[in-house]
Amino acid sequence: MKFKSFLILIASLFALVGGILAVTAIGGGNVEHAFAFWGEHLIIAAIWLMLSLSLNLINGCCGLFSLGHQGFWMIGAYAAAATVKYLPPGGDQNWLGFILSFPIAVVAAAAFGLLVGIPCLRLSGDYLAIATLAFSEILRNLVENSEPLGKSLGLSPPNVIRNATTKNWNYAIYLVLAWAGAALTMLVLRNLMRSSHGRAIQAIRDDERAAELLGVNLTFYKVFVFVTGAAFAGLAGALFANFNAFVSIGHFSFNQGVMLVVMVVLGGMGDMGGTTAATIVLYFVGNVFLKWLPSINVPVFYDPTQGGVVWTEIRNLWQVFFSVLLIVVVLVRPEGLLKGIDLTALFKRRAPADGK
Amino acid sequence: MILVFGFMMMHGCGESGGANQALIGANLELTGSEASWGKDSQQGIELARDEINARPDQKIKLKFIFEDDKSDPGASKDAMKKLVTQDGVLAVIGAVGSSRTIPAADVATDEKVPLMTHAATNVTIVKRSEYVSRICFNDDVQGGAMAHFARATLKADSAVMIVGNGDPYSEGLCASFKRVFEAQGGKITEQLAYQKGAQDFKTQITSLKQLNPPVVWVPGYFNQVGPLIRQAREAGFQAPFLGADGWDDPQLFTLAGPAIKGNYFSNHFNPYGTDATTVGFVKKFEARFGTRPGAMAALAYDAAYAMADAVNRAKELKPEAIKNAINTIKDLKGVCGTITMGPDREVTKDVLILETGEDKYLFKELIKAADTK
Amino acid sequence: MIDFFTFLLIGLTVGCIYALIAVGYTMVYGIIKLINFAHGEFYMVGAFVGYYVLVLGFGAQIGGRELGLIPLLVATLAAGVATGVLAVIVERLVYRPLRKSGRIVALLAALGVSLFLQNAGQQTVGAKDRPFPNTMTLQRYPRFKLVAGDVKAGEVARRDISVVYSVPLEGGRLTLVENLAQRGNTISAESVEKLDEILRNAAREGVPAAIYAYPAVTVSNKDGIILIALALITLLLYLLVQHSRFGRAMRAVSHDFEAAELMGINVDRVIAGTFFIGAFVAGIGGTLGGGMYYSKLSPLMGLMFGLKAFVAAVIGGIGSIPGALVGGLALGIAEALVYGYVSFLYADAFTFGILILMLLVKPSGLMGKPSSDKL
Repeated sequence: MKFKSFLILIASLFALVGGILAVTAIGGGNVEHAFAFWGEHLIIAAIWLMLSLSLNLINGCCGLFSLGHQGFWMIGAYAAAATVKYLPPGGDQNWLGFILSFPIAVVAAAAFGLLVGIPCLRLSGDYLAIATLAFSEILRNLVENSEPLGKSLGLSPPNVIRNATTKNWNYAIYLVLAWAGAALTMLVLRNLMRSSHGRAIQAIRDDERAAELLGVNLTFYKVFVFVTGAAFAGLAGALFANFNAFVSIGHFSFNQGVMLVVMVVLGGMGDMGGTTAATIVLYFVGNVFLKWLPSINVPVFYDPTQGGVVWTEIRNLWQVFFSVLLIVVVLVRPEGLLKGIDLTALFKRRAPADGK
Repeated sequence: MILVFGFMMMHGCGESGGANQALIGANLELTGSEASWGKDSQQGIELARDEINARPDQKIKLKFIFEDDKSDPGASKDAMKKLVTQDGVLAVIGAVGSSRTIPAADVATDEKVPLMTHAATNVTIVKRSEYVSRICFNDDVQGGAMAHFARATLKADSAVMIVGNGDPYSEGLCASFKRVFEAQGGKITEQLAYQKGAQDFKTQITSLKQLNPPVVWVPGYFNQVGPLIRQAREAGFQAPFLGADGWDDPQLFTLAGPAIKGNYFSNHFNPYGTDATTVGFVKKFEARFGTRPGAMAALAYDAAYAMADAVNRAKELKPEAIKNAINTIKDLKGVCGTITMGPDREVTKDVLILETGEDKYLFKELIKAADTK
Repeated sequence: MIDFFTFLLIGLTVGCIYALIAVGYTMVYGIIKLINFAHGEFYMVGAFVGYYVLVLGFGAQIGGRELGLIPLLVATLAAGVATGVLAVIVERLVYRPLRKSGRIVALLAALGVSLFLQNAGQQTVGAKDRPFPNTMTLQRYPRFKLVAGDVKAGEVARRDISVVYSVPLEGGRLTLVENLAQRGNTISAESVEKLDEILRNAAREGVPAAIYAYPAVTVSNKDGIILIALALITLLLYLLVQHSRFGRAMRAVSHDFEAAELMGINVDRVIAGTFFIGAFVAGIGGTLGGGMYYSKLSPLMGLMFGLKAFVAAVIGGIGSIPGALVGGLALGIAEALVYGYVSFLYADAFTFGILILMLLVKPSGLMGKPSSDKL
């Protein structure tokens, strides 16, 4: 997708939220709470976007089916958290730690990208998927048992920005940082895919044997894709660790990984615009709109051992719906639901309603 | 579309409660692996809330908003944030599991809204800031009490510990048990472990038989301790198992079968107790919900009363004032003992040691707080 | 040394359960080159079907009478059939349309099915753990009969001693085992008192009670059932694959899909049949393993077991049925030995480590044929 449309997307999101805040203010609601609420979600959404775009590079553009992306995210997050927490001088305003946490996270994640990528060179398709999943789970197990990494309690590094400013400035600054990160990811990856390297990467996806015969260095590009994808996931991890001020292995579970894969699949493998749209839609629906669903109970099952009809709230069915969505998309439109969507057009249509 | 969102936000944020309503949040495990504890807690709170609001002298009515942390730390943080920033509550009760309460405590500290946990026992939780308090005894106290019990009453001079790997609750309790047990002259022969979600404990039990300790310390959750004890007895292992409040759930009996009898665990409350307070509470609870309350229900009930006490004494209905009132709670009689908030925002309570009978708990001993060091 | 044999036995039984699940993975992979991610969930569905058959069909109650072998058999077969049917439906609806679409797409679909079954399970049967109905009380063998006089307080027990007795219950009886002494420990006075009381009650009610001593290494009746089940299934699979027309068709399709089609084999039917058989076996594994053996059911129980069974299938050589059986047993035993002698903490890392090792070093597994497909 065009970078310009991406920027328009960001601008629209911000405008949308700004509008909500304005309406809240006029209506006499608590603007600060609203800002915190939406700010947090926008920041986390940006982090997810970085993750899905970087996974898109590996899975979608290069056709290497990785199920372990959450592992790279975890490495970056823990590396950043450990840096901010332990790097001397330490303390609540560890600016050195904060600044260094980003490059350290990126390098650490990239290193693991190398570690995972090289052995996986010889694997294809489903074997690669399982191997990457296995790597990610091994990492989780190791981190879970590591004393300096907090074991099961996780790490709570200080949020340096928060400690140096106020709550509201904290959100504002991270909004800028997170979306700058997302924009950077988008820019770099888009330029990469438009270059000759990008063509080589896509050639690998389309037909590996043919690409090899045409002189594409499979080894180099496969490893490169893993390392790059991992690096951006690491960057996302650094943002997450610093903003959330808490990382634990529960954050990086296989379920999260699956969510990322679904975002890439729904958006169309290799289509950055589609992936972006899918990520934003899925994130907000799953984390925001779902909670606003009225508390309606629906019957789902009949079970004498549970006393008859089993009811559940509609919002609990999201996960079930989600899995069905995945199946349906794969069956009906494997190129993804949102592939090729021109977001610029989408937002142009909306402009009048924005009141701009 | 913007108007719709804005409207919803306003609606959410505006409800900080009128002049005579106090909005309190509850961040509980309503779904997920520990859902029975969350549901128990919710029922305890609801029972208390209705009693409190029916009191003629209760000018400020309590209204509770329940959020589900799905038995997951990440979701707990989200739930806490929603309660605090979107719903604008004055204070929050919860969560049950320590791994869920820790991130909630971080949010409470950040947003300056008091969090009172009724059941999370990990010692680091309340150390985070003055906004986090606890009304039950913590893992240092529990672990110490059981260690004391093992040495003094069961006369065990050694023990084997089985820790739930990756579970801060289990790990914390193993640390405190070991400390006190060894301080009192006992020896921890070995520490075994099981993984979260494990079903097969036979390898651990084989090691256990070979080590042959007089007691085994298994401070885990009922859904794993139950099968573990069952498999141990099936293999012929005889020594008693010791545990902590994580055992407390009716499912302990069904998952362990008849093998469960003759073991001991520490708890905040004995649902089968025979004293007047307990019997009265159990009757009320059963009449309303049709099931016997567990310790979580009783603790949550007490927590709701503690919130009412704080709300009534607070200078104004703002989180900061509520926090100050919570931290100065004194001599509040509850179903699980008397609550007086110490300077470290912990309470001093005696520890109930219960013995598992075939289908209920039997009172074994009450260990005074002073003896748990 | 004694521990070694005990670990071996534990590993063997767990390995049998892995093998039962691995067989399904391997059969499906062998025939359409798909890793059916949802296979672990078939194990789970089997366990729940068995559960419901026993509870609703035979009136099982918690703490109630033992149901016995026949109900267990019925429940197990029902579970197998139901799971098999489910697999056929899934294949028809989801996998068949994707047969020509590439492996990644099919893998994604399998992922979707797996998630669906887990989440639907959580919303319908509930996420709470359930105990499996009691079909038989666990008994250890071999065992030597003792008389009450042999059990004296104050003596050091040379063997594990327990008393096995029945209590009459509504509709039947319940067998209970009370541990009296553990090898190497002193027999306590309380144990002897308990023994006397049990014998007295038994005599009064007219039900059997017997005292047994056990050697250091024992096998239980439940271990036996699982081992026998695996042996039976191995035999049946062998007969099916090597000596039946359907088996020949299966081998043909897995060898060369198009050629088989051209030879007039109804490939769709063969694939559906393969799915059925694989899931049938997994369903049996669910009822006997997750149900009878571990007695703990939950909608997420298939995750870990499924993943490990997959590792087992890879170890043995994916696509090879004997490989799945060997791989399952090998993994089970290896795990038990590592847990027993090395560490419990790095359990998952160990299993996944083996997986990665196999994939990198010998992707065709211990018994598979090297195939250029995998590279």
